[in-house]
Amino acid sequence: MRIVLSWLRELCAVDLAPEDLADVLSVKGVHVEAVLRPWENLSGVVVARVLEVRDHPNSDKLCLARVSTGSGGRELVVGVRNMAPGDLVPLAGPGARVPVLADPVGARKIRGVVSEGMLCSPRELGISADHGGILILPPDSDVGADFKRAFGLDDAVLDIEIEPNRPDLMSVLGVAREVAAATGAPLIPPDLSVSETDGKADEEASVDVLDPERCPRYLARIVLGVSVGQSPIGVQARLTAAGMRPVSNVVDATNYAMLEIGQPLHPFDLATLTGKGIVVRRAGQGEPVVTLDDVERALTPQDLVIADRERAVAIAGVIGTAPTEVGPGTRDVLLESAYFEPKGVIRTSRRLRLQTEASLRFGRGADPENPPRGGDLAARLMAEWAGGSVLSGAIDVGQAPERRRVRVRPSRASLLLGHPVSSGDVQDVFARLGAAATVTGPDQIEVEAP
Amino acid sequence: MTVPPDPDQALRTLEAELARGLSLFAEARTRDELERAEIAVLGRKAPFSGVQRSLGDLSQEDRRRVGRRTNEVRDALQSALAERRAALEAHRERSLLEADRIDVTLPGRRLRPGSLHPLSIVQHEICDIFTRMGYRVVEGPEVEDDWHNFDALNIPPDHPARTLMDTIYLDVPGRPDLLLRTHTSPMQIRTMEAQPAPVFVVVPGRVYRNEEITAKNMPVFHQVEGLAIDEGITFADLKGTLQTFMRALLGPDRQIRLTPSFFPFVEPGAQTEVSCFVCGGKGCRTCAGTGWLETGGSGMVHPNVLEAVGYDPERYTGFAFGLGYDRLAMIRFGIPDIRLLWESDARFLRQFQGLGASA
Repeated sequence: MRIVLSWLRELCAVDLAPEDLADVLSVKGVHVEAVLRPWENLSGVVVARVLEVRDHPNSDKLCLARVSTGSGGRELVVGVRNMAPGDLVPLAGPGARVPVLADPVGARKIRGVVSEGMLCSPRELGISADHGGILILPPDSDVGADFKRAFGLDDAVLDIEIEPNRPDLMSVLGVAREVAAATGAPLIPPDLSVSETDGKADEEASVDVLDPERCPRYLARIVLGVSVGQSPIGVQARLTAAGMRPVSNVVDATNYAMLEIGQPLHPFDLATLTGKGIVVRRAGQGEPVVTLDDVERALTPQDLVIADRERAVAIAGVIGTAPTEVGPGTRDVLLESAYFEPKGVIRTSRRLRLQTEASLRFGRGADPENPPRGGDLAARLMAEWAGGSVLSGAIDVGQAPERRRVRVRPSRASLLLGHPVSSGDVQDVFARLGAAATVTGPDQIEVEAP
Repeated sequence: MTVPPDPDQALRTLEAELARGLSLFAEARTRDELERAEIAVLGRKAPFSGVQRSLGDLSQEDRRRVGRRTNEVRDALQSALAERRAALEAHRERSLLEADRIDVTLPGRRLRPGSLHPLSIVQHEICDIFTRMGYRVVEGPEVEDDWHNFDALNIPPDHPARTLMDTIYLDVPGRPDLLLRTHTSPMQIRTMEAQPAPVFVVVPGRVYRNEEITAKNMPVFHQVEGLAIDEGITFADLKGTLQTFMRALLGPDRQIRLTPSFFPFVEPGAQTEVSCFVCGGKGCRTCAGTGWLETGGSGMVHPNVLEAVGYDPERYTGFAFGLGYDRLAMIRFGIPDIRLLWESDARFLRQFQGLGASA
């Protein structure tokens, strides 16, 4: 699990240096395998304005761009012509460094014209895997500003090994909770507010859960009128640094929310759901689906699927399908935020040899109380990045199982550890982890699993 | 054959074959050559056999004449053949004896004493230390079943920890539960099944994971499992035991460090680390600059494990630990590539001569 440090600091105001934080966590059993700095090799790239784009005299493919960083202009040879005069673009002038190149950028002649540096694609800057064109920056960026500072890329990433008994650590929030307990720095709960419109989610679509044992809870929110495009650059950079691929603002909102609070989410293009209804059921023998990775897979009655009124549209807790995928033309989104029982997800994911971020989290045990939070966070991010309006309320079927209560005997703990443990010690430790612990008798404390 | 055979022609053939046979036999220099000559002269397809077969078609008088000569020629050929065969045999024996003659005046060839494999050296040392601490050394089967390798160790079928250990299952009809043990921990179960508490055992042996072969990783490696069960055993005992052991094995200045970790069959569980014995804990290449070397896992035996073997977890407590010693051996002897441990290259093994002899 890769935890982006600036993101972690949004949820726990710890001011330790990355390496010191790694040591603190490792000693507490959260093993930090490496501290990464994905943008260590990025410097000298600045925001520039495109003044003019014209043909390269000696090439059909290349073009020439004149750009300015405020004072004077310079001419560059560019491979892709996706920018227009007035656009803001990242410029790596001679001496600048970009993550994909070992040596600093220089001025060089390309087909008879001198290029004073280069304009950069998202991939060249380590923002995403996109190499189809020059990265176009938001129009409100400051011309001449340092790109790395402007987009918060002076960042570090903790690569954490997650033990199978700690699914709670598979999110920035989970690690923040651990950091707070270990250092005493306060935990800052994520902002889950979402502004809703008057329309009601449950009047727009329906949810039926036919297998409540495998799917104890299914919550859906509706976001209408999104325009699918790219996420903000800072968001793409964080997703990339966390090891995920930025896809589109709508999909990124679900992945970002999952990384932040650990709730796997899935967006469906509402218009492709027959009958605008979700049915959670077992698959038929041999029922075919084409999953998001464009592979056709045959399912069995052991597999739980999300279906519409006609066909399976997702393998529950594992992966969505191509026909209901959010694409450039998507307007309305049904956002799934559910809790699936771990064993079923493990079995299906193992049989299909398909491991995803979602199946990993559900397989190890997601938080059954998280679906409303995940729905709220992802819906807000979606509205923020892709426009659209969030319908009020959620279609919420089932509920989280009752919280488990665990009894602790301080005397037994002392015996096992060979070190005296008092009632107060026990309560203190659990309180720091956010678990309510109450004394229920002599030598007995009851802890409620959060 | 419709035309009656010519008796004179038959007699001429006999004379020619006699002469040819005698010379072929005389020329044969090996047993194989002689056998080929026998087939050529006396074989089913040889001219001599043709004459023999044609006897029945001759008139009574001719048959007596030709028949007598046929018998004489056959006897002559056969006795020449036998004589030659005996001669060749005698010659072969002589030359074999000649070739095998022992030159008693040559100096004797030196017998090289064998040497212990580096892994054996380390394993003996480890077991020695624990024996002195009162532990019994036991060994267990490398082919295990699901129950001992997983279920009894608090790892039920769909537990995520099973996916961490890439298990090699055996293809035995009717026994889908057979596998190559992924750790030495199943011997915890086998030992406790076989005897009541208290238990103090160590289990050295090979374990298997379905992993790639690299300079640092083999699908077969070695562990020592330790198990101590009695009334009133605590985590402090575990720490003291590991510390005493590491100091005996790696030097009196070694420190150990236990950090929280997860193994389904212990609670609490810890990752065991020992201060680096190459740099003394200052940080070097061997310990990746951390000053610590990871040696395995340890912890207090999970109550579910004690229940699985019928021990009363309220009465007994205990600790268990696992220790991988391939890496220890490699660091200790400066072995750069784990594959060297498996190649049985005498030039490599010879370098450990005289080491670990006391064990």
